Formats: sequence, C-alpha cells, structure tokens
Amino acid sequence: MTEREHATQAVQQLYFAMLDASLFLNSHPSDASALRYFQKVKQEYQQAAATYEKNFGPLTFTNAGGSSWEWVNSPWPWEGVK
Amino acid sequence: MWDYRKVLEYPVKIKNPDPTAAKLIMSQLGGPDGELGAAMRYLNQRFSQPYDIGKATLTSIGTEELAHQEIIAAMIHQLTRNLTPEQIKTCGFNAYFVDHTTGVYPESAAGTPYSAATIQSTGDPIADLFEDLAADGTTA
Repeated sequence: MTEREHATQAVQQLYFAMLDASLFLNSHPSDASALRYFQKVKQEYQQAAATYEKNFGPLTFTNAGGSSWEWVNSPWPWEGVK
Repeated sequence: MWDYRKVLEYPVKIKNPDPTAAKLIMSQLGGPDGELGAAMRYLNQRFSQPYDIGKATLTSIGTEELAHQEIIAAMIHQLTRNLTPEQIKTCGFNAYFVDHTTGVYPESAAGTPYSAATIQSTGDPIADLFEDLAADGTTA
C-alpha cells in the first residue's frame, strides 16, 4: 500500500466512524457514551485529514487555496487503480 | 447546501473490467430502489418531517446516499474501463454501449432510465418513512 493509499484509508475509516456515530446521535442526542465516542473519532479524523491534506492536497474546497489551486489535481476519488 | 469531500466513502479499486457485472450493478445506481432514488426520497421527504430527529436523520442519510451513489458509479466506471471490442459485443453490454458508450448513466439493469416515478413524497411523515423502509430496507 502506498503512503497515499494509507492516508486515504485512515481518512475513510475515521470519517465513517464519525458519520455512523452522527447518525446514532441524530436519534439519541443525549447519549453520553455516543457523544464521547464521537468526540474521540472526531479528533482522530481531524488529525488524519490534516496529515492527508498536508501531503496530498485538500479534501474539501474550503481547505484549498495557497500558492496554487491543488483542488483540481488528479487522482479523483473514482479513478482507483489505473 | 453541500460540500464535496474528495474521497470515496468506501474504497473502490477494480483491476479487471467486467461489463456483465457493471450492467447488473447499474440498478443499484439508477434502478427503482437504487442509491439515487434513496437520496431523492430522503432529501425531498425531509420537508414534511415535524420533529428535529426526523429532519436531522433524513438530511444526514439523504446526504450519505449521494456518497453511496458515487461508490456505485465508481464501480461501474472501473468495471467498464479499457474494454476490448469483443467484451463490448459479447458481455451483454452492447445495448448500453450504443447509447452511452462507457459513460455512467443512471438506469435500471433492464435499461429503464432513473425516474422519480419510482419514489414517493406524500407529505405524510409516517407514510414517507414506511415507503423508505420498503425501498431501502431490502437493499442498502
């Protein structure tokens, strides 16, 4: 697995954990244990996303900008292994 | 309001083309109970939800269905990449190819284009949720 694939996988796994917790919290908004879990995976996600973006470019356009517009750069997510 | 996140919700890395599989998987994209239908159900039905839990849930899962739509579309794209003329002719993909080549077009496996005629939005929050169970409960 390349460094890029590794970083992508970390972002995907932690985002999915955060997303699933958010769906549970939508219907259980006061669940203390779910809130703690969300907070934990959110922090891990933010770290993984920052690592990814530092090395491979922005994940969202709101994090793009700087000296060049890296948002347009390949690979796009659907391209997979070529 | 939506932002795009430049990563698939779940990875898709297909090495070998398989147009027969692509033609069947197509239904999960644009068929009557596909991801596009699910997204359109939730994102339109949410306006009838009276309580915050319902509004939040339909907004969240309607958004997530768009991410599922992208996963299925990526699978179709990769399953039909670099096809040989022989694969196009003999793998049940020729009828699709004549109209769409290897473009990703949301339709059912039988070739019916995606249609909002296969979804409902009744204005009745309970009726809508039961319709969602019928459509999404048997697939994903």
